[in-house]
Amino acid sequence: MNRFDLGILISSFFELAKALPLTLSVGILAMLIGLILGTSISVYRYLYNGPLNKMLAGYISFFRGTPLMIQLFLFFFGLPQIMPLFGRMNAFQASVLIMGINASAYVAESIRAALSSIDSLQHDAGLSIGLNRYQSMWYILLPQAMRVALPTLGNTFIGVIQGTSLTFMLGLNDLMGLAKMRAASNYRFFEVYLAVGLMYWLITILLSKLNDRMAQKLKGEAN
Amino acid sequence: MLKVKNIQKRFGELEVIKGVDFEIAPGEVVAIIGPSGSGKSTLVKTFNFLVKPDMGTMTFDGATVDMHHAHTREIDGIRKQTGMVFQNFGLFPHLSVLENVILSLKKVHQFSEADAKARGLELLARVGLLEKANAAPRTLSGGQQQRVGIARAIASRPKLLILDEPTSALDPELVGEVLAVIKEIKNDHMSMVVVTHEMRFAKEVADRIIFMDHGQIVASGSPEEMFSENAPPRLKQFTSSFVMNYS
Repeated sequence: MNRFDLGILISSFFELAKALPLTLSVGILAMLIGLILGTSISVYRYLYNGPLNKMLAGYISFFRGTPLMIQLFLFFFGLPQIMPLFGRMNAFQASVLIMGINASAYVAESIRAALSSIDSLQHDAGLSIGLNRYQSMWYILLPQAMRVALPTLGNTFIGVIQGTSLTFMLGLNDLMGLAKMRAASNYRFFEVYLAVGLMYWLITILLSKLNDRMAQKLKGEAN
Repeated sequence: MLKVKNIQKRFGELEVIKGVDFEIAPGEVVAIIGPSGSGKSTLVKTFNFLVKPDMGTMTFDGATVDMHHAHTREIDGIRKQTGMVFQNFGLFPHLSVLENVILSLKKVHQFSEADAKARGLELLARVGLLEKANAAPRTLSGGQQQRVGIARAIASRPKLLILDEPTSALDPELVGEVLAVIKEIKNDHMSMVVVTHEMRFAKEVADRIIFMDHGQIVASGSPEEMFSENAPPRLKQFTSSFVMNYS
């Protein structure tokens, strides 16, 4: 039996910080893809009614309804067997892309709900001053929907950051990947995994604080 | 200026407009009165295609369109030349009062930022709200919000201004300031169609009054004719209920 060693916990914590840029860049890039893709999907679904609309609903349902880990395995290890083109992606690119697609499903749902919460009078008023429906979406509906969706989007971002801890399974030396390697070499599983847990916790606390501040600020503007 | 023929509209089983013809001359002010559910609001919303009729033809400024099959480009073109004032104002809450007024100037009518601002401030001065230019809409009273709504609707100097019950959502003491602004913009000589329950206002401001009931135009005439002893019985019954309530 080992005795808990605070020194190893602290040194592991700072050692792991080296992987922070990688974890954050996967998380931020994936969230960016998620935001752009998810917003586009919900705008399309708002403006159009057709077969593509049903397919997009299926896409959202699939990516929200299956575990992220399975999506990572399916698209990184499985898909290249069927479509070799996808085999050219490295672990970083694949992680960003797959997590981005996963996030887009959650973003699309939040923005769809936010858009439907906005009084249809807003769209009518936008059209009545001569905006076409795309302009009305861009200048009137989306800015308001974004304000409504902001707290949920913040939570999605936190989920994405935490989800990046699965990307080590594709071979990425992110926080979790580094922690696993370090634990395997010094056998201090408790201290190392506690350190990595604290690291994710810290990021989450900081992001929540930032999210609350932004929400507060928008609320202030609205009144 | 605007002429529509045989407009029909149903929402599911409910036939809201049953073949209405309507015409308005340049600079003319027409008030539409009638009981709730008579199709007044739906009718005026077809004029800028916020409601698309099931049937009807429109001649706007010389060009004729089949309203049911109107092309997006035709609809956008007509909306650029019309303005609308809504019962519940419909101001954009995320934009300042001034930005509400000048958004269409900047994004639709290609005004420069400076020109749009100058025009916007001029309009706000006109509706008596210059000092509110940078305020958020929700900090304003209902009457003030509706005055901004009017400034926004006439910013691009539309040929036709549609006012859909502009005072119905206001507290009684705020109605006067909005009616005063509407009377003042009459000086611009644009065509105006006003759906209203304010009988005295309709009488004062309109060149012509139309009475709608059950999706049809039942009577139409000058204010004198419409409020005279010779008016049709259904209209007299309607207007007399207002006289009892309001005078």
